Amino acid sequence: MGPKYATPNFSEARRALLIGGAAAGLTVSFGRLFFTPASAATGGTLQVMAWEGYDLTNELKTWREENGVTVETTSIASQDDVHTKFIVGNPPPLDLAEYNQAYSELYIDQIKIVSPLDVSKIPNYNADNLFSVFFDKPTWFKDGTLYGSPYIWGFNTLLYNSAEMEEPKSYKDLLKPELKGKIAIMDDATGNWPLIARLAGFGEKYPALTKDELKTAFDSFVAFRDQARLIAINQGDVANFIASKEVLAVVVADPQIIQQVTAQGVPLKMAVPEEGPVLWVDAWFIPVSADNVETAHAFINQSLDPQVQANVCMSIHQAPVSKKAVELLDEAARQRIDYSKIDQIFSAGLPGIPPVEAESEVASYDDWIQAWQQFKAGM
Amino acid sequence: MVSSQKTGGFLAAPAVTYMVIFFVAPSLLLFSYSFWTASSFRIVPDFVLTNYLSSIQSLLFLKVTLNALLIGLVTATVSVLLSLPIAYYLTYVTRSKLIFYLILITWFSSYLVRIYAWRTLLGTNGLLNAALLQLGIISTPIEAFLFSPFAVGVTLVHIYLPFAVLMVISAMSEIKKELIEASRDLGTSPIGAFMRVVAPNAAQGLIGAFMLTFILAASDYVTPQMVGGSSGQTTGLLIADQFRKTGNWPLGAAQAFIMFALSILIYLIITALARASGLTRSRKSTTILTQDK
Amino acid sequence: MILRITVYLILAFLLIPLALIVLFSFNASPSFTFPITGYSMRWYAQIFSDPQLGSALWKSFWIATLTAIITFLLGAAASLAWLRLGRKGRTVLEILCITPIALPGLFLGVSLLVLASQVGVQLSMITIVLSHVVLALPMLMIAMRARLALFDPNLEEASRDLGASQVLTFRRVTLPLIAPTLISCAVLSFALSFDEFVVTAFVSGTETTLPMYIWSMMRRTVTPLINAISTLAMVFTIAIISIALAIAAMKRATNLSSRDVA
Repeated sequence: MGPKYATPNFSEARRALLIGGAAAGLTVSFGRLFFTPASAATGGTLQVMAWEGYDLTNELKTWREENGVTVETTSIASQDDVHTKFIVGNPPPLDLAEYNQAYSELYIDQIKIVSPLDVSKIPNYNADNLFSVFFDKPTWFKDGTLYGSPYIWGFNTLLYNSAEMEEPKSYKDLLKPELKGKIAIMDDATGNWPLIARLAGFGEKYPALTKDELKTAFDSFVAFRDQARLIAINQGDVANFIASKEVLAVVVADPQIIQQVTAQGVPLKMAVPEEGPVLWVDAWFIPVSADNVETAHAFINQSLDPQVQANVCMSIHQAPVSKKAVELLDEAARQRIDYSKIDQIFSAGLPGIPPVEAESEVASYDDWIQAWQQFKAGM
Repeated sequence: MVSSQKTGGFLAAPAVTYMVIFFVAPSLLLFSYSFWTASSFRIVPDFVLTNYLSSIQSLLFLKVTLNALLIGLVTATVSVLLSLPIAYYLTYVTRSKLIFYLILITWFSSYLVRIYAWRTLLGTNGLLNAALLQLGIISTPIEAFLFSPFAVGVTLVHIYLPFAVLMVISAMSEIKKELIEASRDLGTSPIGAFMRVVAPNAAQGLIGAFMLTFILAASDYVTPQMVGGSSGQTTGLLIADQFRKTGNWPLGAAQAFIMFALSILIYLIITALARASGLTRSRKSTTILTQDK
Repeated sequence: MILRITVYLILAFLLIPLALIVLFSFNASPSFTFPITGYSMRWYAQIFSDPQLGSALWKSFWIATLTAIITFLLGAAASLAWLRLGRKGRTVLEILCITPIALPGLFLGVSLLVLASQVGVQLSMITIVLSHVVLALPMLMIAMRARLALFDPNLEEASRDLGASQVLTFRRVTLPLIAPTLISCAVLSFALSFDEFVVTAFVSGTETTLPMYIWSMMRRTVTPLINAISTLAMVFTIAIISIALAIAAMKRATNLSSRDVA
C-alpha cells in the first residue's frame, strides 16, 4: 500500500479525463507518477497485466460499459515480465495480474507481491461453480486465505503436421532422421523444463533436481536442438514456420496456434506423447500495489462467470475452471478435453519452478536459466 | 567576451543538467549496482567483485561475448565499406537529394518489421531462394540462409548501413571538393583520389562511423536472436535476461560494463592501427592540413 | 560508371526489403510466402478496428512529439551556448551531450531503469519520453556541431558592431544558420522516438507503445497486419520529413530574399 498523500481531487480529475481518448490517456499515464487512493466502489480504470487474448476485452465488454470500467491491459510475453516489474523500487500501478501456478510460492511467500483476496467479493468463486481441483487448493489457498483465483488452464504439448508425418507416440519420435531440420523448440524456459527432466528420467523429481541431474538432463536434450530448425522466440514464430511447412512439428507448445495454422490449410494436430503434456493453470492475483481493489475483485468475479469462461475458452482454445462452463462450450471445444477425467489429469500434480534459493547440491532457478541460455547458445 | 561566455553557460545549463541527471547519474548508479548482490529477486547493496569474476569465468559469457564482438566487427566493417561509395557519390559526384532521402527513409522504417522482412527474404521459400532457383544457380532451396551468422550479418548491415552512410557523409563533407578535383585533374582514378585525398582526411570520421556501427551492432540483441538461431545469442541478450528474467540486476550491470570496457579497448586498438598504418596523422599535422584548406 | 552501379546496387539492397514489407501488407492471405495469390486491404481495415493498436499509436505519437519538443528546446539552447562558449565549455558540452551516442540503447535502458528504481519513480510515459531525449539529444548535437563549425562567430559581433540589436542579430544572423538543422533534427528525434524499442522495453512499465505492441502481437501471431502498420508509419514519416523540408526550404528562401533586400 502506498502513501496516501495524493489529493482525492486529483484522482477524480484523472478519471473524468479518461473519457477524452488520446490526450486524456496521456494525462492519466502522467498522473500515475503519484499514488492514488484506493477507490471504494466498482468503476474507474483497471490496470490489468495478462497474456494477449486473456484480458477478456471482448467477453466483458458489456460489464465494463455498465459499470463505467476502463481496462488498460499490458501484455505478458513471459511470466518473468510480471515479477521483474516489482523489483523496481516503486511497484507498478497494477490492479490485477495473471500468474502461472509454478510461481505461486515465489510470489506469495518469497517476494510477497500478492495481496489476499476477499472471497466475499467473488461470489462466483464457490465449490458449486469450480472444479474441485481448483477450489481452495493449497497452490492458491494458504492458511485460510485465498491469494490467487484460478482462472483458466490448459496444457502445452507436442504439435505436428498430420499430413506430413505420423502421430508421434513419444517426444523422442521427433529425433527420427527424416525429421532432421524439421522441428521447432519454443524458447519458453519454464514450458520446456518439466519435459527436459522427464525425458532424462527425472520427471518425478522435478523441479528439485541436483546440479548433476540438471546437467545430465540438458545433455540429453541437446539431441533435440541438433534436430531443430529453430528455437522459436514466440508462438507467432512457430505458427509461421509450420504454416509455411518449413517445420513439421514443435516439441512442446500451446495448442492455441492450431486454429490459426489450420486456417492456412496446414492440418496441425495435437499429440499427447507417453511422457505426457505440460499442464498449467493461470490465476488472477491482486498485487500489493493495486489501487482499484474493489473493481479488481469484481473483474475476477466476472471472469469466473460460466458464460464468460465458456466464451474466453472457445476463443483462445483453453479450458475453463468453471464446471458449469463446460456445457456452454461448443462441440469442438468440449471434445478437446475429457472433463469427466479432470481429477486424473491433475492427479500427478502441477509443475512448479526450481527453487529460487537452493540448498547445496540442488539446482536453483538461476542454474536452470543458465542451463537454458547455454542450450540456446549451442553449448 | 566574458558576458558572452556567461550567456553561453546559462544557455548550456538546461542540456547539461538534463544529461547529468539522465545520463551521468544513471551510469554511475549502474556502475555501483555492478558491485551489489542479488538473491531471490531482491537486490542488496554490497561491495563485491563476484559479478565481474563470475562473468569472465563463465564459458557461456565468453562465448556469447566473442560472438557479439564478431557480429559487431563484421557488421561495422561491411557497413563502412558499403557507405564509402554512397557517401563519395553523394558528396562529390551528385548532390542527389532523392538518394539521400531514400536512405533516410530506410533508417526510419520500423526496426522490428524490417527484421521480419529479412526472415521472409531468407526463408526456405523466401525471395532469395526463389530467385536463385529461377536463375538455375541452385536446384533445391538452401535452408541454411536463415538462422546462420550470414543472416545475422545481412540483417544487421541492412539495419545499420543507413546510419553508417550518414556518418560517413558528414565525415566526407568536411573535405573540400576542390581537393578531389585537383587530384582527379592530375589523372588519379576515383579510387586513387579516395585513397590519397579522402581517406586520410576523413579517417577520424570513418573511425567514428565504424565504432558507432560496431557498438550498435554488437549490443543489438533482438536482431541476432530473431534471425541467428544459436549463432544469434549475444551478451546483450544475456544482460537483458538478467534484468527481465533472473532479476539479477547487479550481474547484468557488471556484464554491461564489461561490454563497455571491451568497446573502449576495440576503439583504442583501431586508432592505434590507423596511426600505425599512416591513415591518421598526429594532431599537429592534421591541424595544419585543415588550415591549408 | 562503376561507382554509380555500385551505389544503385547498395540502394537496391536497402530498398528491396522495404518494398517487400509494403507488398505483403496487401497480401490477401496471412502468410509471408511466395507466390502471393491475392491482394486485399484487409490488414489496413484491421488497423482501424483494433482499439488497443489505436491507443498504442496515440501513445507513440505523443511520446515522439514530446521527445521532439524537449530535444528541440534543449538542443537549441545548447547550440546557442556552443557559439558563445570557449574551449573548456565546449568540451563539457561535448562530453555530456555527445558521448552518450557511443553507448548502446541497452546500456542506457538498463541504467535509466536502475535510476527510476532507486529514486522510486514509477515507470510511465514520462520515463519513456525522458529516456528518448537522452537518445535524441546527442544526435542533434552532433549535427549541430558540424553545422556550427561553418559559423564565423565574428558575424554576430560584426552585426552588433554595425548597431544591430541583440534581437535583430539573432533573427538575421544566428537563426537562419541554426534553424534548418534544428528543425530537421527535431523531426529525426520524432522518428527515432516513434520507432524506439530497446530502451522503451526497459523503461515503459505498463505502457504499450507502438513498437511494444508490434512486439507483443508477434508473440502470438505474425500476420501482414504488422506490415500494414509499418507501411503506414513509413508514409507518415515520409510526410513529416517532407513537410519539415518544405518549411526549411521556404524559410531559407525568404531569408535569402530578405537579406537581398537589406
